[in-house]
Amino acid sequence: MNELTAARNDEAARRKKLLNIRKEITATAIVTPTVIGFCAFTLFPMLFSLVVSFTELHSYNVKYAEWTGISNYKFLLMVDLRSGWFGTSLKNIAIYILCVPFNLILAIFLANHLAKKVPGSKFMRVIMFMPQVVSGVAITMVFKWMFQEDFGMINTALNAIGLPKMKWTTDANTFSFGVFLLSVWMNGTNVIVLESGFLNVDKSIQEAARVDGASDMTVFWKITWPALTPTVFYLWTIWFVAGLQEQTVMQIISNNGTGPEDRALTPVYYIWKMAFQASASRGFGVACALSWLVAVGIMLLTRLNFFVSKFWVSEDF
Amino acid sequence: MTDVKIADTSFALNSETRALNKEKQPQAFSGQTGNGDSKKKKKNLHIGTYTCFLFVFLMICIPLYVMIVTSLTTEAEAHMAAFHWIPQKGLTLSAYVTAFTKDTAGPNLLVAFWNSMWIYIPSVAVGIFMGAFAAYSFAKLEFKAKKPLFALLISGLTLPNCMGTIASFLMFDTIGWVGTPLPLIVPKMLGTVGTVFFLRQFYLGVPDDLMGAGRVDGLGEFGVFFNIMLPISLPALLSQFILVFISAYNDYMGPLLYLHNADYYTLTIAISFFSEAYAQNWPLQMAGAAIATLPLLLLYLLSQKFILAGVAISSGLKG
Repeated sequence: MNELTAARNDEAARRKKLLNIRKEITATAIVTPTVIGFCAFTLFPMLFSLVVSFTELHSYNVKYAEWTGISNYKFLLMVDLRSGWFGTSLKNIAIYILCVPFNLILAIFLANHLAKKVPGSKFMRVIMFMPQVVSGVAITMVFKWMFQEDFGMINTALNAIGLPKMKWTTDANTFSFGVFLLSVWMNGTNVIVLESGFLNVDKSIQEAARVDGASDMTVFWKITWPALTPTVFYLWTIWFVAGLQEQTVMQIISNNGTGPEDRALTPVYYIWKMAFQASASRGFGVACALSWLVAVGIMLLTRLNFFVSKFWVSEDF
Repeated sequence: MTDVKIADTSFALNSETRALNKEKQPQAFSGQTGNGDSKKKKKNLHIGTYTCFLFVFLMICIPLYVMIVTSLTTEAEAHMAAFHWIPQKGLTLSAYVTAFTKDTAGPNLLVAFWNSMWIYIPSVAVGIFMGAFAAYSFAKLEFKAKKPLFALLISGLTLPNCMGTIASFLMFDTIGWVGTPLPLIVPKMLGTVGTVFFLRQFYLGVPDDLMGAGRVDGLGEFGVFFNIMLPISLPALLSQFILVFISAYNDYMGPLLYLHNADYYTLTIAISFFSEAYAQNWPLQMAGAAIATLPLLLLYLLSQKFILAGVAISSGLKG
């Protein structure tokens, strides 16, 4: 009897083990394609880029790459950063990135109004997300036309109210301001995400505070804002990283050029230019070196972001 | 979309308010008048809110209006004189006719539109399905490699894309894919990391009991996924599909890098050539922009409920 039970138990245990192994294999097999895709199309190119960054390569064919050690990095950091386009592009992106905090403040203000749920706010919600759907290339073309200096809509309107025409495409600062306006226009997600942040704040607590005599400002800074900070931080992080990699708008608005005083040249656009437009003088090796420098810079800034967040985000992640 | 966990803030809130109440108690009397004021304010017509709505509405719609109106003006008018809000010389569809028939600056726009459809719709659909499958496994199944593999995918979100773009191009060129739409299709088909995160978040919210019920009925892992998880998550999948499709359709750098043959140009690339080839022909450029924009705006307006819900969820607030 005992032997029989033991044998049965053995059999059951073995079956269970087999079943577990099958489950394990199935579960792993399900995620495999995505993991392989990620390794092949995201991770591998990044590492490959590091290898190419130590070579000199002026052709698509990797066979012609010549190992040059760190000379690409030397060129970028010693020469190009001081007197070349690399330095210019860093200055430009530093100006451009200012649109991210501005966008966020604007979005908080708008989301606050949207969350009041007055009649018509559903309609406004739909309108406010619209820019996110519009193709960046198409809207950049539209803004280029609006910024046109002789017959464009904005200069015509400025003229009509007695103001002088602005040099949107020829003056460097005005150009940067124009791109700033465009990037503010293009932003739709923030408002929708922040609105749901506002709606998630406990209304009863706000009411209780009001009953206790807190002013609107106090309610906002003491109750609403702390509850919003995780959302604001999330948006700030993703738009900061995306903003540092801006390229398309600059490329279209300057007709594949560099704009007045090279203001349209951003680091990622410069990477593209080195690889495909200045292939003979710069080439893929320098382009890859720059992409690593830019990426490491972005990652360090993101780290810094997370560090600083400890002081203003009410929940730690 | 990055997955940043937004923890439940109610705890912090409670302590915050308690602190606030303590502070405010001595001032309760002086607060009474302020309270009366705010009640009066609530009865007003939200003039501030509506002013701000009107302003934003104009800011958003004016560029779109300019696009449509210019695309309908005659070339002579747009070229010669200042911008008019209402065209002086009548409306014409000639810019659209030219945009659809002329193909000197690239492909015919109808071909380009068709290219955008067949390159992106199937690949995004398959990608969302693969992503959902992987998300289900990461959320609900147990396996040894789960943690390391998930950590590997997370690492992808912290790495900036610009790092590998040039090397991807060299890689695809080595295997002979440059000049074909394959680099735009294949990576999308295997499921993107963003989709996996978003849907994993969704599946984590599905109660285990539901799966247990399916298991009792004799369903395996696949059965549970196809019969229970997939139907439940259909709205989430749809919103993800539309969002990913919109961003793919609007992608400029990918097609610019990989599609060297005008027969394969997507709509975004095709209209970008307009802005170079017809630099002074604003009606034609605006017609191109409108042709690229309007289908997506229509798609958005038809599915805005799904999309906006998806955007709100993807921030991690409701998932």
